[in-house]
Amino acid sequence: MSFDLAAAAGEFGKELQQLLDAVLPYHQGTDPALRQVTVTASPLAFAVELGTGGGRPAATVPLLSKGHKVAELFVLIRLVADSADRYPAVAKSKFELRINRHPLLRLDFDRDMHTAPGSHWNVHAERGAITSLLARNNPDHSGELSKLHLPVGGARMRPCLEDLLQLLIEEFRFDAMSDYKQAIEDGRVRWRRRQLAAMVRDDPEEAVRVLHDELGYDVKPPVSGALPVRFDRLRRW
Amino acid sequence: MMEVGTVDSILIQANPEMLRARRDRALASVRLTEDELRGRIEADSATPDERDAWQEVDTVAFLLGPSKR
Repeated sequence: MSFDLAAAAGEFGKELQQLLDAVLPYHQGTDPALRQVTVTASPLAFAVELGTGGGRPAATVPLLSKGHKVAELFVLIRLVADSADRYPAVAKSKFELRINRHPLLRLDFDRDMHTAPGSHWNVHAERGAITSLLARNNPDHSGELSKLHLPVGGARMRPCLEDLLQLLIEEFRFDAMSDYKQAIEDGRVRWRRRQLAAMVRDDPEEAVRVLHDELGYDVKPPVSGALPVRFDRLRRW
Repeated sequence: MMEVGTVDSILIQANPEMLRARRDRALASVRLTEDELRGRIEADSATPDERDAWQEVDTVAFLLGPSKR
């Protein structure tokens, strides 16, 4: 099967544009081109950003309160071909809530990360008890809370952008479009089904066990034989 | 909320010259070389402008790949 990776990356960008436009209102007086999702393609790598058309640097999404910009959302997603060159896979993503251009919350994913959890939150805040605990137990740590990597489910079970958007709207109470929740829930379903498919590829043995033993499906292995479990992927934090 | 007008996403086919120009603009905006900027990032002493510039440099490096920088 031939597959147009660039077209798939373009579709990815389109989905992101639709999600952002369905959830966060545009800021009056800001050039709408800065809200444009741009997918910059090199042969096998794609950068999904905002506002980089026309040679501009990456922009942020203004987060509004009663129409006034009070914070910003930074979104960067890097895609590469998956191991079979069939789909664009996220190699790295960075979602940040910023105020006055400084990060407050960061949700980072890097599939090649080994020293820190592949998917983690960083919270840019101060808490003396955490600093003193880190300083006492880990001489290699600066003690800053913002340098603590809070693990969130690894590559497969990590939160999606929709989760962060819902947090921004329902807890921070930033302005939202009237039907934001539908767009968030639709996007979350899409995300979780993709992640589930990836997990089935990681662990077909468990998928077959559940389908056959628990749900009564008749499942046959391919003629080439049962596919192995990728334990390296299940073990990774 | 009143809607200002939405935009469509775009797909940009990049070439190495275009990407290097993007990196050079980012470095010029903070008046640092790539090594100096990396040093400020690693020392955790970068300003918001420098962090944004580094993001640009890093994205260009990702798109160019290790052999074409």
